[in-house]
Amino acid sequence: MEMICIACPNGCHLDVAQTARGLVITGNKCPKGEAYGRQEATDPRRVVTAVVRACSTEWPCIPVKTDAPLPKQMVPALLAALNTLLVQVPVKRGDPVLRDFEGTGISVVCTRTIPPVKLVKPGAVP
Amino acid sequence: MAAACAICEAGFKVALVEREEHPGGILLQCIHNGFGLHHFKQELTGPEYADEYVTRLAALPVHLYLQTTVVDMHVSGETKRVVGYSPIHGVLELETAAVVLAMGCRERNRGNIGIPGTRPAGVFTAGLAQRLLNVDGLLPGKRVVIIGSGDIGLIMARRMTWVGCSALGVVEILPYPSGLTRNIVQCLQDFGIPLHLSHTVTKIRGHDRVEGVCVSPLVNGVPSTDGGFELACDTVLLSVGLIPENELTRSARIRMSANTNGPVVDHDLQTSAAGVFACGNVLHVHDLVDFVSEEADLCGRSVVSYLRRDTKEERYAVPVSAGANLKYVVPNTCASGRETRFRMRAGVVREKAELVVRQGDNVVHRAALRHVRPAEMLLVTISKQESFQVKKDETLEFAIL
Repeated sequence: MEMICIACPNGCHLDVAQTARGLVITGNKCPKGEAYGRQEATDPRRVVTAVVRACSTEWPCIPVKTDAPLPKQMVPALLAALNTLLVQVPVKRGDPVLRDFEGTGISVVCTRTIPPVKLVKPGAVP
Repeated sequence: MAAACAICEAGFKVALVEREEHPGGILLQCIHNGFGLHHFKQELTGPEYADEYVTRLAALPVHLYLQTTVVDMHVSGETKRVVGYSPIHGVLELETAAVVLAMGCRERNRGNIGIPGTRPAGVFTAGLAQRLLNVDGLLPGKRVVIIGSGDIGLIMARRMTWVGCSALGVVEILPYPSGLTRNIVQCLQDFGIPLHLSHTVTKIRGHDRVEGVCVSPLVNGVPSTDGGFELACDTVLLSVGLIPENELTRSARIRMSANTNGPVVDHDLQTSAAGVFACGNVLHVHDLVDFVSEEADLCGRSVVSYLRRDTKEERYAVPVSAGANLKYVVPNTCASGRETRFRMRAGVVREKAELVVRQGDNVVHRAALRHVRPAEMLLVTISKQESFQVKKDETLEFAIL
């Protein structure tokens, strides 16, 4: 399996091969490349960022992220789940909108603080 | 915000004038992660990075004028007069001793690169599409072709795929991608989105809405008629570079640099108008926000010494020029007798290169570079010790050999 290491701007072209002695990674110039190649070949994970709908006229959506990298093959399922959410405001940065996704222990949290809606009296100067 | 914090923390009165409803600028629409690795030593998303500064700012007595557009700036001697308009504050007039320009940059658009074809709806700059999707919650289109391989375009390819649209390909005119490697890998290769290097869009088709684009390979720098193909799409996103937003700077008759499209600044990030400073993307386009914060913090500290009228430790300053294989170097002067940090952008892709800073045959600084890419800004520090070698009245040349 060929891949490009993203651990640093070097962008080493890695070759990951399954041999009798386990995974053999070649083409890396440093140990970070070895670790990256191993992780990508055995258990690729991604931090997912998205927006979810907010129950607010002022704020159409709230940006969110997974609090840890999620196994890559679960990303579409997570995005589908996030699409169905409707989140009540106000929220604080770090508040979970989805806890322990499918038993992974990974939660989805808000990345922005949405303050309570300011009530302005008609004609008042804000 | 970083500059405002640095100035306010030194005990000066600061007003921060912002056009948008919330402070944070483009960070608020960059919901992806990867920010803050240098500055905060952790991986943050754009809104989180902005929040770090909003929190810091909130603890300080900075006057924040939101939804206020500055339309004019007069510089006459010591006092600067800044005029803005706002639905909240009406006409805002501020008289200040110093001004920090931090207006950021603008995206190049279809007109800037002159793509032939009809003029249907559905042609967006990548950043506009990003804002529509991530802030306003609106979908700009379903089947997308991205022109240019800038970082925002690559990020948008992934983002559009994640919201259920299809990104049909990225068309890049240069033989190498303009975006960061990690974005090529995680935004294109993860989803099998093709990257057409050395290709150009020769036509945008469609009457009311975009119906497709014609793509041709470049042969010797000219679009070739052989090997061209058409991609049927309803949306075109442009990620073809950024230009510092300097209308205000020009109207104040501040000297501009043709290489960066930003103002010419000295080693204190001060422009040709005394007391007017510049930092961030308005000065030159950065690729990492961490470097913007660092530059802004330095700018803030320069403003503080300007306001305190600190006796300058340096003896003299010499002009700086970008030599072989460099597009530009910022700041544009180097002072003797103090440390200065230079930021520059390469014009070539090289492995194992050497950066040389010299005046004629006198080499002031050299550094080995493992990898040089136009997409990745270079940082070089001339130490206080090295700066003593800088001779008066002779240009200091930076070059990649």
